[in-house]
Amino acid sequence: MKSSEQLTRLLKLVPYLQQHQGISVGEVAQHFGVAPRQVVSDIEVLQFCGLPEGFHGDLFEVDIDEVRDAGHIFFRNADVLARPMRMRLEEATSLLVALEVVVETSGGSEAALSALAKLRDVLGGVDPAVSVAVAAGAPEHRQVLQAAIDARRVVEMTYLGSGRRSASRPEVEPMRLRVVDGFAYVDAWTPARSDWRSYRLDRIEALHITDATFTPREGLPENATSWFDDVAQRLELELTPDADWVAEYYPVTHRHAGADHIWVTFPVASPQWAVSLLLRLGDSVTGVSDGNVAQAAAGEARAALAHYADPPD
Amino acid sequence: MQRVSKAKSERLVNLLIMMLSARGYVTKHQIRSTIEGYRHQSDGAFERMFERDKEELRAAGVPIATGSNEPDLDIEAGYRIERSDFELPPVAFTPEELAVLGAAASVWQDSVAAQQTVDALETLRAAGADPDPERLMTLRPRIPAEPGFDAAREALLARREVRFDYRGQPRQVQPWRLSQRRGRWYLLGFDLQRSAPRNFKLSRVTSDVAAVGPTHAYEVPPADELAGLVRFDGDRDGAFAVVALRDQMGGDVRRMAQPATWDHPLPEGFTAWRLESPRPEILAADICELGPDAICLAPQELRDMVIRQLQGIADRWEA
Repeated sequence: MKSSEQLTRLLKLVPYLQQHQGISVGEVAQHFGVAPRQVVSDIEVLQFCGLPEGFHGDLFEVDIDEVRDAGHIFFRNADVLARPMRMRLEEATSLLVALEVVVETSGGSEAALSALAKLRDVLGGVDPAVSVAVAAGAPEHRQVLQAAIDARRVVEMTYLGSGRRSASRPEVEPMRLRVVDGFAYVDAWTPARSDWRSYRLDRIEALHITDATFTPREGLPENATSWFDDVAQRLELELTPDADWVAEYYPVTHRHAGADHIWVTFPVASPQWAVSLLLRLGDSVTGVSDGNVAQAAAGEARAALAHYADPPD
Repeated sequence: MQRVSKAKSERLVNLLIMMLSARGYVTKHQIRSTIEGYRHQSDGAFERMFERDKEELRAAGVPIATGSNEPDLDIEAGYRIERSDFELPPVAFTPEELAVLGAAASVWQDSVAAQQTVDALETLRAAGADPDPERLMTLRPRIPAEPGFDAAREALLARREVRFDYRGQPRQVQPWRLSQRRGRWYLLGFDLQRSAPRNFKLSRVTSDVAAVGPTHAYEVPPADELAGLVRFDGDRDGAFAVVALRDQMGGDVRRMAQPATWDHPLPEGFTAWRLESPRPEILAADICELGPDAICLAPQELRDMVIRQLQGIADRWEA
């Protein structure tokens, strides 16, 4: 334990304990992320602190035996440190940025916006120097989803998936709003698929709350970082070096660079996704691990070329 | 060892309280005769202890001012802590706002900013607010960090220059702003070799980010100026296309598109849209990806590019 860590905690403990008279050692330990023994040790230091001169009545008042034996803390005569120290710049800016992202994800809910305004006010014009863009679709969609989550109501949405899929109209039981890699998702139980699914908020075209309610299901994956996690299929592409950016842009499970080519392995959510990737990359693809995907891409390209048989005007 | 550390913590808190509660500046002499921990030290030991303690308080963020109660007289300087500089101003949150603050606790991932956020929330807790991380479990945004992020941010907050290799080239930069888009971090800063603002994608930094030189080494331009300078991959709309998309199809491409007018007949079930993008190659890729659900109508060069790409795919992969 560095003394600076203890110092910072002591300066928070003094105002905290004054407002929570009789709080248990265990609860303080939990709130400050330290062992109960450390809380007792902190109190042992604080019993000798207080206003200068050191006369009786000037020091903070705390019965250390009661803390040790009964595990309760009564802390008095500490008006001189009634409030915590201002946050350090890096603490203030970290919290501000985190809160801004929560505000953004919530669709600018009233509570989120007012919490942010109060925090900015109390921090006094701190520039966080860091900004995070969240692609989270229409703010009203996020508010509707949050309301549906709170009220446990089924929502019906018009969802335009990526790439080649046409819009679908799933009815889902929304459970959680979440941001991964700059995109906001709603995690929902999807009865039609009997499974959890994540829907990207900026792909929701329309949304409304139905009259149906639901009972939240158990088993929402805690840290499903993306829908690629449960994808079993893999596709390996041999690419020319100019296409190295794809490894940065798409989720990949493996990348290997040779002298003239690179090899990249992708998790494949659907055969159509793999075909779309081949169409997108064009000449940069020099080898495909799955012949069926290659042939399907050739077929799609040929079908597309049929549109260009006549000039446009 | 434990006792020494306790004695020091006690001394630091008492020193802080003395400087905070005094009516004016307190002199070193007054401090030495008042604080228990200093009283029995030799002159030299006291000097060293007092200097270290002051530094430690300042490092913890305590604003210690130096000055004199009688600036016109040539007397010993003293120290004080201005209460308004030291204390967090009063603030009160509603239960709903506390739930939002609680959700902020778990936003940062893989960065020292995660612990800093927890520390900041502890300060609010000490101020009487009780951020509730359990209540808003339904709202879980996450910000992942990247290698170099913490070092760049620390340097930025301290206004220190940084050195790093970018795509193998050494750079020295005054960091201005860090922005994240699509899960990737970008550093905007003043590139000292090129004497101009530049954007750096952190994933392309090929070395550690090392802070160099003193703090407060430069000024950051105002936020509204910076906003115009931040560039991400895929910014700057330098190319456009008019495309016909099959109705109900087109996914992400259609979402970015604006309705367009097209005077010539389109195939049944197709509608004209206008697309913008930084480079024509990206537009061609977007259009090809949609296969027979998209037709490039204009401009002619882009149309030719799309046809070439589709032709290449058909020729290469046809069995």
